[in-house]
Amino acid sequence: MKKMAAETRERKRFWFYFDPADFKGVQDYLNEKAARGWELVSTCHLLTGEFVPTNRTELTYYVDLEPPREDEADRLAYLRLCEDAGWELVGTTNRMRIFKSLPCRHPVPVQTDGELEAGNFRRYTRRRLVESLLYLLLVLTLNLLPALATRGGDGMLRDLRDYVLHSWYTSWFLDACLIILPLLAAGLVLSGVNQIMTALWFRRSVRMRGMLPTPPWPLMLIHSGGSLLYLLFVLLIGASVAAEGLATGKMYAAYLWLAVWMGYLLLEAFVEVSGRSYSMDQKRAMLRCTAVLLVVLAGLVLLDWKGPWQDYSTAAWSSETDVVGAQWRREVSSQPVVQQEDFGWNRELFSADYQHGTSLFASWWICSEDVIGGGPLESRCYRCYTEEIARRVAEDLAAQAAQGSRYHLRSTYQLAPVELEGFDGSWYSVCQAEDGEVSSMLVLRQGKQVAMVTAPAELIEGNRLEIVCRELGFRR
Amino acid sequence: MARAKLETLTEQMYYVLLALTEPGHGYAVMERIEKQSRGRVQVGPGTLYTLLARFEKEGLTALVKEEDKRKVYRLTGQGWTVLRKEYGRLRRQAEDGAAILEGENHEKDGG
Repeated sequence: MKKMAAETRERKRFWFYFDPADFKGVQDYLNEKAARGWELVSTCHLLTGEFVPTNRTELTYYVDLEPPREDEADRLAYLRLCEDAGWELVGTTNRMRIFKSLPCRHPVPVQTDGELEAGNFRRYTRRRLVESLLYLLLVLTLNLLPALATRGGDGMLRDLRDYVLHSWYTSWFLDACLIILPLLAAGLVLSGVNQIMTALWFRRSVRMRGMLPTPPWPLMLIHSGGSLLYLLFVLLIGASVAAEGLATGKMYAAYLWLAVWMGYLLLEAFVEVSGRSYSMDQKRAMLRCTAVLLVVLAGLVLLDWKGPWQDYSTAAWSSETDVVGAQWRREVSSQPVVQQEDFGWNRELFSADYQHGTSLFASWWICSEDVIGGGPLESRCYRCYTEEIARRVAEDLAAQAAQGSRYHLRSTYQLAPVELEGFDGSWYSVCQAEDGEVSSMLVLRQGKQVAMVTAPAELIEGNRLEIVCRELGFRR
Repeated sequence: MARAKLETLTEQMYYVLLALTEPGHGYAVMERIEKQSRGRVQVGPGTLYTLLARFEKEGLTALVKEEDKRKVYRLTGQGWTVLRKEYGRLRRQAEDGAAILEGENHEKDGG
């Protein structure tokens, strides 16, 4: 009767992504599935395991940790010994070896010395902690390099520092990093604490009961969810870099990201790292992931998809190379930026640049115009999502002006607070060059909007402040 | 459990060395242990593999040959020494126990 019922059921996939620290719980999970008539046939199908109906009543599982160092000959010899003893390897997943009993056999458990098994786990834990830290460094390096490459610069550390300190409100990538990296670090710390606590728990249980305990099911789900989130975070950082690279037209960032991840996956798939080998199931799954990644990225490139960055646009015009600059400048004039024409100036333009983008904190518009033989006219407008963000952006802009950050400013202005009616905060500075030319910088904050304008003239003289407010959308 | 320099052996370690007084591969060792202990002691393949690797590293056993992915081990001179030393220790423990416990039983029986 049971046989007939089993035959009517089809293959099924059940959740099968667990933290290796919970390997004893995985063993119980599989034994429960076997008791309900399901036999595991494959361990690696994108977070699930494939099960088939079974009539075997004597089917049992044993889950063991993969040793940290083991050459192929030793691995095969060990698997042969297990087979002789009545255990067949179903697969290896996430450092766990899953054995099932051979038909009509009632084998001795794979591990019969609890203290030895707990000692193996302690060694495994030590090694995994070190590996996790190295892996984090690798991930950060792989993902930060393309991001920094899009900025150019003369030093990675300086780029990184400036990026974190002064561009946090202008970049989706950095927003992702700001949110993800602390979570990633917290996840690693929690994972490390979990493993150490588990190792201590095992040692205590072995001393008291002579065997390893089984973790509760809810705890196993939390652990596996944490591991999964870790993976998603890593991919999200990379995707942010790639998308921003696509959106800004710096395609090589996307290609570099794709290349490093494909390289990493291929490395995992084909190279035995420290004697660690993978089952064919795992290798096939990694290749499938690589293929999916490739298709997705190719799709993004071909469809010119920009996702949440779709309003991010950049354009540059140079009088030497582009004769349609006037048309472009007319289009930009409808944006919240300040241009020469707004002040009634008509200086000979050398180049112009306009960018508009969004981040998690603000939408922003930047326009800069260089004139021949004169100082630049540059306006930056940030429409933030909260007043608190606007306050911090204004403070950051003022601080950068004093430091002369190369990302935003071309000279140093010692901004000082100035009383301007209608604004929540305003700073102003005038600078006179050796040749006598006067330039000034103005930072304004009103509600959720912040602006910074640099011009080759005094901005609060005459009606220039009114013009700035009108063009940037401030209320007066 | 791993003991410092294998000065004392666990029950499973002792039986593994005892089973290797004749050369044998892993599964043969498992069967011998079950037979020698009359089914009282069983050593799983994972535990056995860890112990064999440790004994080989410590020079107590040596790899004789490998046939069809089965590794055949034998006891070395050092292995014999450790085994005999452990046997002597266990025998003295048993004799001490017998002198007290069997003597007590005898007195109780006699009383």
